[in-house]
Amino acid sequence: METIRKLCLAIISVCSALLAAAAAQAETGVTDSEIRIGMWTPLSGPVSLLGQSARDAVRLWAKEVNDKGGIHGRKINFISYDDAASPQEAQAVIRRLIDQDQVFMLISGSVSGSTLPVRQVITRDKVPFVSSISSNMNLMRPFSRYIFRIYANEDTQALGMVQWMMEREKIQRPAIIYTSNDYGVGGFQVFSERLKEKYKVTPAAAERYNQGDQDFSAQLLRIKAADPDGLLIYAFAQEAGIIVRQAKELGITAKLFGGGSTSTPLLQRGAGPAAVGFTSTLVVPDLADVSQMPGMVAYRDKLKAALYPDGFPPGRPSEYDLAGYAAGKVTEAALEKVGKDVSREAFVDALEGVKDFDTGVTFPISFGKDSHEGSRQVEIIRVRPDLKWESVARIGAP
Amino acid sequence: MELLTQVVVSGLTLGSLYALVGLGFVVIFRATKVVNFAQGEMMMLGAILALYFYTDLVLPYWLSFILAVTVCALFGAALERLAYRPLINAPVVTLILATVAVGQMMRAGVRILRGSEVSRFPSILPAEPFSIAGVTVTPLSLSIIALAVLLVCAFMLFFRKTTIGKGMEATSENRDAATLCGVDVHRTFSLIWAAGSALAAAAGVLLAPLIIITPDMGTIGIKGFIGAILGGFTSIPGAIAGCFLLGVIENLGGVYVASSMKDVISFLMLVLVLTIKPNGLFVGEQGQRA
Repeated sequence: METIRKLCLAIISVCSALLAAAAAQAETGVTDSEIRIGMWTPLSGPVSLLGQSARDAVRLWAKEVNDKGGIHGRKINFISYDDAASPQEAQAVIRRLIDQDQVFMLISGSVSGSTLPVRQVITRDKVPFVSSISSNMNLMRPFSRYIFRIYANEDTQALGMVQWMMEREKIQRPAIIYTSNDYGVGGFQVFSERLKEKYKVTPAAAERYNQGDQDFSAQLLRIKAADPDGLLIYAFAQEAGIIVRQAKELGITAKLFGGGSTSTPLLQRGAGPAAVGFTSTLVVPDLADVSQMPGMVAYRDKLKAALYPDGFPPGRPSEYDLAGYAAGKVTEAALEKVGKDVSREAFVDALEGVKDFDTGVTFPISFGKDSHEGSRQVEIIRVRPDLKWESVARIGAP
Repeated sequence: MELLTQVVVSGLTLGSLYALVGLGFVVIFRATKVVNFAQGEMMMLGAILALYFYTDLVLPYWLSFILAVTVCALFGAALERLAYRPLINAPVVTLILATVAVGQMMRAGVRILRGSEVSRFPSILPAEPFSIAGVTVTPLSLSIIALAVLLVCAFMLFFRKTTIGKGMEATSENRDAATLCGVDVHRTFSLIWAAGSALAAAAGVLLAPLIIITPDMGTIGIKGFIGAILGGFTSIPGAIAGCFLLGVIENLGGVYVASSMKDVISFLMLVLVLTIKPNGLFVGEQGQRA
């Protein structure tokens, strides 16, 4: 009995000593030699391309920082976990990152479906988060001092596309087909409200479908009967690919446009030759896999040398590579500015001071006290006859 | 009127997709009483294999088709030997769960090997639409309808006219009696799983140009299952008719009621049919086989 009592006392004293040491530490996740940065993202499952892109990009950025000696002498200790795009998994790994790994900040994050459920925890625990995957409006609703976003949110993307359809393509009878989740319904609302307010037009047709559907003939036949001259497909790329093909097969001749999620090579892989002329928006200034912008060429070279010497997997590098890398760059700039004495609050203040920051791979990023949306620019891209995307125009702050 | 005809024709195309998948469900169920929930995944595997043979190894289409179907048939027989035969005396529900597990494993396996790659199977027939009496069709969709009908006829003949087919029928009627009559039950089961898997693979290869190839493309299988129940799960022609009917109903509901209600309508229809005529629309009161 006596031995057990002694043992307990010993454990308690060791624990108190550890706690005291932790309290003395300047800030959670920061030591003299390292800064811990955490990521939860889909590394497996249907949307793993997004997470793998972001993870590789941040890993590459961290390696670059560490190779040149870190930030104010502190190296980046990057920890990433797979959430398989599941909200439940996301909850679990976020707790692990914050409580167990005690990260200083979070980076990139997951798809909207498993980022929104954890935003409350992030805000409550006051962990800075630089997001580079979710484009959902509700990431910023209500406004959180600790959450920042790298690229144009989905409303900005939808507004850009509506502007392009109505003003540049002179569409008279616009129609929309959208997926029945938050993303699609949000896109539909922006589309119809903007048409009504700015262009005094009501959609010729508005049809919805359920995610995972593989046949859209009922919706497309209704759309065909309404005889639109422009159709906005607010869907994920895989479904949009089938919709584009079925629209052509059913004899729909309207010009086809897509929401932000369609701007990936997956669209053409699903749609085939029917995709020619399809127009979409991109949240980065150029196409990650083919761009000749110096920053993007350099990124591709570095990524290849560091992680993929035998060639990139299909679909890579993607815009999520670029956004993830940009998230790293912005983080680096803010940490440099904070100086040796790092705290989460000072880091957030530094991020809010970022103005027209050029990451080399995204649009310039600016944050402010009231706006944590890094960019309001979108690139309009279109599918060429050889089925490759090409940049057509740039739309700013619609 | 033109719209109505177009809706029905598109519904039939959709129905032919369901029918091809539904047929595989029925073939295995008739013989083993097992609903094979890995059917959709086998279909996906068939499509992926054919794509590999056709585009990566640049084999002729017919050879790619045959190879994909053969590999899947062998795989189906192997699954029967490794995963299902050990459970032969377990309750049917255990076997059904085993098929769910196998399906999940196949999906995950494909995802590990190919990632979430999206591929389109190049169509060997033109997908350019043309009009007959105001109805837009493509040679591709017409050929799918024709092939579905052809496959159904072929399988019905197989069950009725060949010794192996009769053996399968006998095994499904009464396993013990079939054994006494000299039917090798184990061999028959292997054959049935191989046939069901071959059918799924064929469906996958035919469907592939109409949809897209992803690890999740097998989810369309569930519609084939519903269509088969609608028509009658124990009867091949009944199940096929049910699948075509489901395609048409989905489209009619989607166009004339609301496109978002498409699935609701078909599921409501299923509930109604199960309540009023539990054996399926096209099967007699006793659940006779066709």
